Amino acid sequence: MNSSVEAHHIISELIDHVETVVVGKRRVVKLITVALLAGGHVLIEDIPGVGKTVLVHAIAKSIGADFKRIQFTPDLLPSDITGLTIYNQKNAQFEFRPGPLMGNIILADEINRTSPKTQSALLEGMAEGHITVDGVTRELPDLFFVMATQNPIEYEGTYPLPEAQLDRFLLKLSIGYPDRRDELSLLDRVPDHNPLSNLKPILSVDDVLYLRRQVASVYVSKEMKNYLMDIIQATREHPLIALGVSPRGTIGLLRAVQAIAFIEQREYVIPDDVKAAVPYVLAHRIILKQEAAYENREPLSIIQEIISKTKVPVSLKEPIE
Amino acid sequence: MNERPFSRVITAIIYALAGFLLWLCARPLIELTILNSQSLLVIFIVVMILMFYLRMPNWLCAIVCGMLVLHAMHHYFFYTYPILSADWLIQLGEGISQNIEYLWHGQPTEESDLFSAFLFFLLFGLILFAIRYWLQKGRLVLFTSLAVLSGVLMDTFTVYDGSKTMIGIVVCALLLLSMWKWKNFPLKNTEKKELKSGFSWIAATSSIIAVIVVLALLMPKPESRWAASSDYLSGFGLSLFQNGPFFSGNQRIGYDDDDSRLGGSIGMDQTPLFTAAISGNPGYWRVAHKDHYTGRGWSNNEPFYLPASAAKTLASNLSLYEDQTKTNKQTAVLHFSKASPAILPYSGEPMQITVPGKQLKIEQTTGQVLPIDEKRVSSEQLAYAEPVYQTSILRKATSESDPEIIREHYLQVPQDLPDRVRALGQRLTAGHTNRYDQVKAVVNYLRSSRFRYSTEQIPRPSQNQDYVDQFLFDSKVGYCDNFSTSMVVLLRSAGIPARWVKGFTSGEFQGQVQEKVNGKNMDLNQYQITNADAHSWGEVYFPGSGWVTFEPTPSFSDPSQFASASTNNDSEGSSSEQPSGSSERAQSQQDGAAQQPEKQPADHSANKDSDQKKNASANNSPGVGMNWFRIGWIALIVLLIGALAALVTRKKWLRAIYRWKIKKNPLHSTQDFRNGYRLLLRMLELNGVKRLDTETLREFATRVCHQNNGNALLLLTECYERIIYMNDNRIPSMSAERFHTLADQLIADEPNAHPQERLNKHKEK
Repeated sequence: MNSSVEAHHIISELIDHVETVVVGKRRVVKLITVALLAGGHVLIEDIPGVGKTVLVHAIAKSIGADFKRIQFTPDLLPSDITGLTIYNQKNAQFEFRPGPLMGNIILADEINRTSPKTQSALLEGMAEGHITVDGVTRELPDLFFVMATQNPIEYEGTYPLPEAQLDRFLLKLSIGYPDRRDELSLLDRVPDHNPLSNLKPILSVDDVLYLRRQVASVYVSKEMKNYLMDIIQATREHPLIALGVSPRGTIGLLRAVQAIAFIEQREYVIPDDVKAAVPYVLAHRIILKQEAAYENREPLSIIQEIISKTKVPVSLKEPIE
Repeated sequence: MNERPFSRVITAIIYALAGFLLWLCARPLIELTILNSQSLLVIFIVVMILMFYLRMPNWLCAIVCGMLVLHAMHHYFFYTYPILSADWLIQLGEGISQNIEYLWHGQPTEESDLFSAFLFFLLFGLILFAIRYWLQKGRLVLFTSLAVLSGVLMDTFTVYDGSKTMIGIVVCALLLLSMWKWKNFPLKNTEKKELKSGFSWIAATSSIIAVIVVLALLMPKPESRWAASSDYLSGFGLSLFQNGPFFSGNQRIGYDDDDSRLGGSIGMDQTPLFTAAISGNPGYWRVAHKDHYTGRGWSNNEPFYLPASAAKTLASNLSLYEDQTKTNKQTAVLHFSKASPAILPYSGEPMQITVPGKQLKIEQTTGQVLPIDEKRVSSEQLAYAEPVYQTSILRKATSESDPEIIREHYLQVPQDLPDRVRALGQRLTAGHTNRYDQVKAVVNYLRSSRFRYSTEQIPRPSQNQDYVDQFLFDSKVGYCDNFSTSMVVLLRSAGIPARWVKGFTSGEFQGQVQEKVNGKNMDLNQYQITNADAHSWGEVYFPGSGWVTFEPTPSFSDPSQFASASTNNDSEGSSSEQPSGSSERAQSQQDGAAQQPEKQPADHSANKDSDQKKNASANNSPGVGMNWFRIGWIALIVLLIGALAALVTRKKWLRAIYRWKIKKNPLHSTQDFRNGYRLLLRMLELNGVKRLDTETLREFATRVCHQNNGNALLLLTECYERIIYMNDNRIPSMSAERFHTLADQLIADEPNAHPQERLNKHKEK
């Protein structure tokens, strides 16, 4: 995979591939691909039964990498996911048994069902790229991609993720109900076997790492960086927002925007990329003031408002020569 | 975002109504004051309101407003100057600074009409800006109530009858308010409903207003409580408001033989008396001089007439100039109107006065020429000597060489002349050694700002008061009689022979006419002299030069021509008959800084008050001043019309320019592409499709492509994006032909249909 043409080809193939399993969710699939290429993690929040797990599973299976799934439950302990050191009686030594977190692609199912203690073990790995077990720091593999799902926190038996931890997800998505037409086609082809089992890996770990390097080299002009900063700044100055987007969020936004441009087969970023990324990258990173609740405002609507009020750089004002 | 589809029209109507309302309110001011030119005010309002409507920035409006104020000042006070000259600006600046000084020293009564008018226009400009502010902020209730209030005040406290204007103001104010209200009404969802509601709104409000007006007119109205409210108020010191220098009164004045008792106000009357077609420079028209000052006025001696049929008698009896005064022979033809009294005015030293079919006589002591039957004549032909005084010679004159007869007649002052007048006369002349400078000192003293020129509210001297003393030390305000009498008396007090002359100023220039003089056709400059041009001035005797005219009244300029030594030869060479006096202009080189430039008539008829005209003076000959003025005006109007036309048709020609520029674009570089793309967007904007600031190019392009059912803009946008977001400055990825094809596609579907309609059509699809 040397030329960029081939890279783009592979990406669209990946997206098509996943779509055969999850019908009518191309947008979500694309966004997850964005996170994968940008080197971030994804949090999918939605009601049960819309296909979160299947979707994530399909993506994981399309990449020929070490795939681990962790089903979070209230009684799950940190060592259950990080792995633990046990005493090997055979050679009379303590040896480390890696937990499911040591894989390339992690499906953290229902992440908000477990206790904050276990959540933070996962989140350390997501942020730092390594985990600490029994005082020993162990590196995670180069490709470490967490896709977490959670039920909306209003539902029974959940532990909401703290803000600091939400910040570590590059994107927060929701899937939503499929269209009527899509759902009809879903009914038509309720398979007699699990479609996931047919999926073949399309990308290798090396491919993903190569694509990530490509994404990082997507050109972002000065105007575009200023445009990003305008939006970030606006979240910090908005009267209804108590806590604006952190610099981590800014970097995340830049990566996401680059990835979107890359997926759109461009080697440069345009304002439309930013507009496409901002709702998913920023909405979960802001904390609203109490007043927002009185006005019935959601973070997403405020982010949309900011986008709709920020001037787009188009270099049209310079004098015509 | 959501604007009423024709909200610009409503705004235009609101602005127009506001301008009209202001005009209604300002009209009484114009009619009551000397600023009696409606058109100027209309231009002022129209230009400013138009600029406000077009949302011109405030600084630009302020500049234009300042220019309009200056133009108004030029119109009223300096119209004889070319509008593009700096002279009048300097004079204006001096006048204003002088008046500010008076104000500073707490002498507000000293301020001149120039200053009042200047302040008036400045205030008017400020009011216009206030209106802009009110219109922008929606303070229309304040504006309209102030307008109504001003109308009421004008009607009540001035002589202006505002009953009709009041109706106009109220109707206009109500209309304005209703339009405003409607403009701010919540929007209806479709244009059709919008239009319908607009019509019903207008119909409803205008019928309500009509009903109110009709009811108000039909209602019984109580008689005014005050017999005449304006009289009532004048008792409270508001009289200035009606009779101040700024307002004209009702007295009449004309030429009057009786000067035995001077004083009191005079009125201005524009009745034409005669026209004078002259070959020389415009000079004063002399009717008579008076010798004997009584302390109240100039006495009427028993007339002693001599028949004056022969030229010889005339010359010997009316001799004004002696050998050392150079003269130019000139011709004049006068035609008298029916209103004229029986007078035969002359200019300079008459050599021959001819009235067809009439014998003439000369009054010896006054130099007055009359027909023998003392009846009005219809025309008069005059050959006269126009003097050019030699300043250098005048400066040599001293009191020693005065002939005895002159000393006997022209040094008379009444026995009971107050000492302070005498002392003043001696003090003023004390510093100067020669007669000319002494006279100039007195003249300059009278022309200084100590005294104010006015024809209104001039107190009559009391029974025992000396006329000159009252003016010089008491009232310090007066008109030509005060100034000229004072000058003569002051000079006589200082031992300088002088006499008082009455007649007319040179009048108003009317144009060139052809007159038959002694069987020859001559081109002459014709002047109109009215009752308001009646005037008096002084003559001073200079041994060797004769009687020299001096003008002591401020705001009148000296008609005499003084030649300094350097221009002597010129004036000699150009003596004899000179039709229009172009070379004489050289002679009118004035000496002395205090000497005002010679007054020249100008093409102007709007200004009714001749006294104001005397403020204006010019160095140029009538033709030049007039032409500059005309050219300036025409150029201004043409420019304005051109600008307006350009503004109205700007979409058309901008489109044409853009189209041409796009066609011409060679697309050699990315810069070319950028320019081309930007022009395309501007073109779309002209067609009513505008990109929002928060819209990305692609979103905009998608929108446009949806409307136009093509993807030209989208393709162009992709290329443009590559250039600006990639900083890709290599050759554009699009070929020139492709660009032009796409551009043509984009511009081709020009908005024959309104973009809104097209959008609707699209929705229907």
